Amino acid sequence: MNLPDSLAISAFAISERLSDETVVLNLQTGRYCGLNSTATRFWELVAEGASVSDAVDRLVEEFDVERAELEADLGALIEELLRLGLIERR
Amino acid sequence: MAPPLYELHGLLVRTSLPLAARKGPTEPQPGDVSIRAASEPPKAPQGAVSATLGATATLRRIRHGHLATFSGGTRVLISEDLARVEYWHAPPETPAYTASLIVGPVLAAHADLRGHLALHSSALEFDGGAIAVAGPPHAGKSSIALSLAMRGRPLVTDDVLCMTVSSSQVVCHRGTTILRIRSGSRELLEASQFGGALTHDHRQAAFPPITAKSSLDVRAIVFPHFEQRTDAKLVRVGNAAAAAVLGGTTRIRWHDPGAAAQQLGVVARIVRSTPVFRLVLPDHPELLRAVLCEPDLEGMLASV
Repeated sequence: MNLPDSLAISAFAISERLSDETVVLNLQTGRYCGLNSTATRFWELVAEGASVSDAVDRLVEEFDVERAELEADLGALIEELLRLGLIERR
Repeated sequence: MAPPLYELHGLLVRTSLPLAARKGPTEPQPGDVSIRAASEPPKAPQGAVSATLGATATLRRIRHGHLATFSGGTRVLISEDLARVEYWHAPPETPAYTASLIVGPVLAAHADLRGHLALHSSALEFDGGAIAVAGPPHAGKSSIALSLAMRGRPLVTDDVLCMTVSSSQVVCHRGTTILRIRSGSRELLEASQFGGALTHDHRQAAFPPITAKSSLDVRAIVFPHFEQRTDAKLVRVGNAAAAAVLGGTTRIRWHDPGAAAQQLGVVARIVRSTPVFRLVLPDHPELLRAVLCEPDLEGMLASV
């Protein structure tokens, strides 16, 4: 799975934590996105400045998930977050 | 003689505009908001748009308050202290049309400016609480509300629902007293015996009895969702997904980052304390009509 090296949270994204989930709003478009617990942890790691490969390592450690399955899910998530303008490639 | 008071969206509103809302107390008191015609149009808006009020109106922060500008040219000024609203309706718009803007987008903006939340939502009273039927335009909110009103559930509001949100409680307020029904639900309207005049936007108005309490705890929020099926079902939505769909149903979309963050915080507080469901309904018009005419839907909602 080809994941980007590094991502950053968009300056137009604001988020609110809901227990182990998160809702994110793009101020420019008014579009919202709900993140489940794994996506929320990925969002946090990106916000802390972790590279995508480091984030994958951390998520494999923290969640009961196979790397290949996680990378496939993250690929779809990253594509969606890029499409919504909530993250940017660095 | 002073203009009448109306109870609307949790406010006592004093105005001579013909608002489709329940009249308030008659004893002398100033009310919370006074709405009156401006003798001349407010100055043309300048500066950045701080919010959009639906598809055709904008809100700008100005020196002494907020100015809403509508596509037809009507301008509405909300004072800094939120106690006064001045409107100037651009011909050929009529005062009745301006009244519909006041009940809808203007007081929705007023609610958000008070730190409350205004949703695209109808609501019905269920055993002292409210169930909100929320969704974007054309989502079938008013038809569902009409079918529930026909089963004796008092109408709380149609199209605009204002909510007061504390850390542990979500309270909604009675809004307009009419349902605006699209042509696709005309048969339902005829069966209801609530039918009446044509609305300014060419829908049919329904006038169910005004018996709902002025403020009610929100028991649940449901979003209509249509798919191939023959009956109705309720599916509980997780918190983040619920917040995303609720956020997309707000009447006011803030561009100002501080106001948008405040609104997002209010949305989050709502989903922490109020269950949100997807109300899955048949997408075929005849099957949908059958579901709306049967008692099962009302019983299902009463059980949440």
